[in-house]
Amino acid sequence: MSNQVNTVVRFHDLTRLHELKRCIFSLVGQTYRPLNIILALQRFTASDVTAMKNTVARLIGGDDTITISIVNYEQPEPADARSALLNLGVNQANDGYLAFLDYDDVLYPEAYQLLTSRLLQTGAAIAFATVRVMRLNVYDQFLYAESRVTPPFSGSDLVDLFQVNFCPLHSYLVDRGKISADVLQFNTSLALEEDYDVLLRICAKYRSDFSLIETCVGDYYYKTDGSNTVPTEGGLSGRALSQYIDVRTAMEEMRRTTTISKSVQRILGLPASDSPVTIRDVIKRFSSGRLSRVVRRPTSPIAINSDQRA
Amino acid sequence: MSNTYTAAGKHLSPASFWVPQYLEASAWADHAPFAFWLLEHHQPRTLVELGTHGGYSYFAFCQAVKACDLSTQCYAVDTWKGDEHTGFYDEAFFQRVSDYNEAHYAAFSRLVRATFDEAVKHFSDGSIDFLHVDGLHFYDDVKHDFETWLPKLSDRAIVLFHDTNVRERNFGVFQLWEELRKDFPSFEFLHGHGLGVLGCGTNLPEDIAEFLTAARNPSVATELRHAYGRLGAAFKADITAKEEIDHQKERVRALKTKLSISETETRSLQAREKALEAELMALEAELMALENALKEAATRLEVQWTQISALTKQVQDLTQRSDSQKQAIRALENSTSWRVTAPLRFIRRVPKQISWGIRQAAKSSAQLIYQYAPLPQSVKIRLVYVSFRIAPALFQNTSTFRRWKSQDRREKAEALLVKRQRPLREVARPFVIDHSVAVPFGYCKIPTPHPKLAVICHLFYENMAPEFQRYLANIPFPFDLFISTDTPAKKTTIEGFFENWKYGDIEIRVMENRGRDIAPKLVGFRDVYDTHEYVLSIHSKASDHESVLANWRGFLLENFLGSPEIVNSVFTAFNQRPDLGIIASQHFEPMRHWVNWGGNFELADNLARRMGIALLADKVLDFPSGSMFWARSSALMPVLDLNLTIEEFHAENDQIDGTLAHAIERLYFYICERAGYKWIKIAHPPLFEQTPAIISVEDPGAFDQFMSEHILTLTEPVTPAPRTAHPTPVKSAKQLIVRLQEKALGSNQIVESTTNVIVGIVTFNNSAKQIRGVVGSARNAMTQAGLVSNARIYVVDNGTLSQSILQTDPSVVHLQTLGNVGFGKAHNRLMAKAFSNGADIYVAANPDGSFHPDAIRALVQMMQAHSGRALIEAIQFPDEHPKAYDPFSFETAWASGACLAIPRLLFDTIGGFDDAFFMYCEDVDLSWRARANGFAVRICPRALFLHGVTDRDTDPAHLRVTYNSGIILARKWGSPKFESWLNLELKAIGFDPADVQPKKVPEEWIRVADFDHEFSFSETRW
Repeated sequence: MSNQVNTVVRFHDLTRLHELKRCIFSLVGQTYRPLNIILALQRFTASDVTAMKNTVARLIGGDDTITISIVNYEQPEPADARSALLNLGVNQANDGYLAFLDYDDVLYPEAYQLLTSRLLQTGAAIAFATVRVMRLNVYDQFLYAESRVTPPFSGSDLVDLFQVNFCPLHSYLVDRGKISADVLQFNTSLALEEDYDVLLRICAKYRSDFSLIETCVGDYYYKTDGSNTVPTEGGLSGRALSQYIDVRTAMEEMRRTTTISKSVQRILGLPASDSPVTIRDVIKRFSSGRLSRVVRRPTSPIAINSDQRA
Repeated sequence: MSNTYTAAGKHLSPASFWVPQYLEASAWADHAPFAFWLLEHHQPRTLVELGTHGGYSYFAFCQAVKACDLSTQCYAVDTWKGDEHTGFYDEAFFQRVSDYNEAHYAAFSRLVRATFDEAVKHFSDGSIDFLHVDGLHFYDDVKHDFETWLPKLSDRAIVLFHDTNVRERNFGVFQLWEELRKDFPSFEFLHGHGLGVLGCGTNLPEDIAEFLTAARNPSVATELRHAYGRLGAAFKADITAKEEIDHQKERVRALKTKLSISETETRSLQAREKALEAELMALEAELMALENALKEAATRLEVQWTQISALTKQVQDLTQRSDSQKQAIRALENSTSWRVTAPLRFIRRVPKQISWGIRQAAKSSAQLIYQYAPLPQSVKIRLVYVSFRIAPALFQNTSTFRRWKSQDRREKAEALLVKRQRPLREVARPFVIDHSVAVPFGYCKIPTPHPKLAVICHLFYENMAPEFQRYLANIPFPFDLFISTDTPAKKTTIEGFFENWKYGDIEIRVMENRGRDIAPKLVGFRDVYDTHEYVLSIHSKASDHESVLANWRGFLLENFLGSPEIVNSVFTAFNQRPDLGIIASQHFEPMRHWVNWGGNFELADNLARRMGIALLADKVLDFPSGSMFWARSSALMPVLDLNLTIEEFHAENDQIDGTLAHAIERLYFYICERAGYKWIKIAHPPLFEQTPAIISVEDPGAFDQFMSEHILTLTEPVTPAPRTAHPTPVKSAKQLIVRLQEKALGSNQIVESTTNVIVGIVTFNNSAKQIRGVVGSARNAMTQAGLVSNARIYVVDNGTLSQSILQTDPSVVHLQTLGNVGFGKAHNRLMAKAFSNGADIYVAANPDGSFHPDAIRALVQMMQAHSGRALIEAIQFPDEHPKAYDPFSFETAWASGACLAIPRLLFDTIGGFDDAFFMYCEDVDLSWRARANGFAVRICPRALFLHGVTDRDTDPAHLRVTYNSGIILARKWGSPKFESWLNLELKAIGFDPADVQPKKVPEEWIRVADFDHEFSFSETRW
């Protein structure tokens, strides 16, 4: 198995190039090597793809421990190809480690060093850390960090994750060699929380590690130009409400139908049983006194993962 | 009998006896027991309630879902605005429901804030198992709701209707119920306004089907109604009791609040009494206050006297009114107040030296009282604030004063906002006829011969000098620059900034901080107008009392001084039209709605009379808002000829309205007209996104046409009617932000290929990977900046040697190591070497970081934009230092040495880092010295310097070095308090303070130091 970290970066809007450059620079700045940056583009022209290749190459400089792969999603549908881009990127990765980073977020230099260490030490298929949330003003030439923000969700372990998605896309690293290909496919019918869907499948089947959950390995940006948040305070309406209900229904269905593997059952300390145990069963078993631990902040927006947030 | 009880008993369970957790007065209160039983046995997959109101029924459903551990998804649909049955209610009502939902049932429940018809679109057909209809209760409405939602019901569905037993206020649920019960199995509870249970599904759960079947038996129905009626009544009693308890609690709270207020008032009165005693003890300080008050009174008296004189003149022309006016004057002259104020007029003649002596004595006394007087702290603080208010000049260099002043300004601004919310008389022109000329003109050229121009610039904020330099460089011919400021220390700083000024003669005068920019310009530089035909009036306008005005100064400078073409247009206009006296900027749109007399009409009217100008308060008004403009000197003669004195202006007290300076600002166009000239306003179109009536002029004829068609003359008898509605403020144009940032960042600058940049790196036991990383990134960034031939990297090792790591790199020069001499000292060696070898800019870089490929270019561009008089920090990435910086000027309190661009001029002027610091705080010290000597300190957010985040040192040895550096900084910059604090911190970790006694900086530099924010040395963003 390769020890390379493959990072899938989705990007769909050329006017946000300076944000993408920061994102890529934070990858180049990783203390961990080797890296493979997979830039998944949404319907770029051939000349734009070439320009993107040059831009990224310039940021990498002559570092031969970083490779770059560019894939371009060219199908006309769906209009919002958020999941399709991730699948495109995943299919491009080798059998090493797999990570995701949206074009407008950044990682700290030690992120992959820390996360790979945990995967090696524990044998887990996925290791989680956390990220800091910052509020940013977007200007033409730079981003102005205005303040820190209290994250909308908090949680600390697997049972919390089964209940609420508190792990942003770039807060974890996957050992791809331990996970079958079908589990790592993002559901293209989901308009939201496509990453949570995959996380539930991975964590129901494979060992996960949450020991770095108090360690920040990157920043998640709330941008004041509204390009990555959906204001939902006071209720939802229209299309967002429909999407939300659909996603909630789908996620609940997922919890009811996804069974927990025997190995994960053992890790959770569940008694041996031949009956299938679902995620919902685990939540029920551990829910006494636990639900209150997963804090949903009063102002919680739907956390739409950044790439298609426009 | 026993059989029928048994039959009814099947439809009771332990759940029927649960106690509702959410208690609230509700017409539904009696039905919770049945709701619990129903949810337990129905186990719906999706539950929807139409009309949730206060949430009693909905939260009863949710309680059952949670208690039974069901996987039901619950949705409450309501607008939460109320209706004619429930009454209308405010947002807090919804918030209360929302908060409860979030706190208890967020995992499966969602509030849908929409009308029923809007919400229905979001549910699939056949998806709802449980529907509770409790919206509007008119027959047509409830029928419509039922029919609209019917397709959404599943084959397991039941529907609850509330108020089936109400036959008043046009309720029509009972009518619909009568119709529906014929078609579906059903049961109706008659208590609690009636609750109908309708089995709509064809495949009802067994328990529910059984319930509805059993209830057909009248006896069973009666028993069920009896049982659930009794159970419900109990909760109703609970709710009534709870309401009574809440009511009593509220009364207790109110009484406690009242008591607390009384106690506070008592304490406040006691404190007031003590404060008054303390004020009496501070006799010297009060003398100071008295002196100022007397001066104010004398000024006002003189103004009044002037009014009387003007009135007297009018009286001579108006015989009928003259007797009464003369009597009034005589009465005033004989009045008690005139006689009483005679001593004031004497005191005004007391020599200033004596006054200064009193001030110093007052200051010393105040300090003694503060330190040693046995007074409560609150009294001392009040005493301090009283002292600040009456004698600001004594304390203006202290951080406590600056904090108080900032707070005071905010409070005043808030007070003004409140005041402004009261309607002021609208006197500005309607937006659509407020014409301005677009600049640059289509036909402008450099004026020949060059006009005799004086730029009169008041720099209260001396740190803004670089910004003014950039704009003044747009004047394409020589001119004389006259700068005023209010302290010798600031003058020294400004002299530093303008050390190599090449655009003409420069003179800097120190003047009393009085009358804002207006008094220095009209009084302090009165002589300049006689020797220069034209003047440009500008000043360091801050407007920090309103965030929307943050870019007002930038806007004005950009609009009328933003390019040589704009300046040429101004003089083309003056040359073409000898009758043109003032050229000002069109209003800054975020402040246009404040174009009015404010609280200044009376003052303006008095002054105008002295110039022979008659004002009418309701006549249309316009003025150069911001008091910056181009003028022909002769157009200002009416006000200059008054020979105003500095004392006539109000003493500085952070006023934001109601001073003579504010009044004069509103009179400039009147003054221009009084001198026989016309005035115009100009607008650079990209800065005006929504402003109409901007006229382009492509040839002289077009400009003449503008002058004949669109000029407003305020002094004409007939003027346009003022606007009738108060305009809505608009934001700054995006293009303004872009331009201000572009100019301050220098991102429009071409990097001179001859620029000589040397990156200096001091290593200390760094890994080969780190050293190769920083050197490689530096080389790449210099290449990307186009500096290949002039770019070198100097390295010195304070720890293990790195030569073997970099020996094949031709761009790297190693200096002989001298051991671990400290961060600053090692950089000083590199810097000295770099500048002696011809470097223009030295970039200090930490060995464990990495340059973004564009970082060096961005640093050099910004340095060029600041004419090489700046210390510029590359922003730390991805975890920025939290110290504040201005996102338009990029000014910051100090620049970090992690990646810092230092120009040759700075090194030649103030030297490098102070060797007294071994490590840490040397960059803060260098920044403060730079600011005190006329160098800008900036942060460049385009230049990213990557550094580690999660592995920062916090061990005691590391803290020891940090604290000792802080102590040296405190000793050097005069902060015993900061030093004491760090001594304690050091002792807490088991160390003694360093025995280093650095040379103290000059007293006048201390104003730039900031020890109020611990080790941030600055306000922070988080």
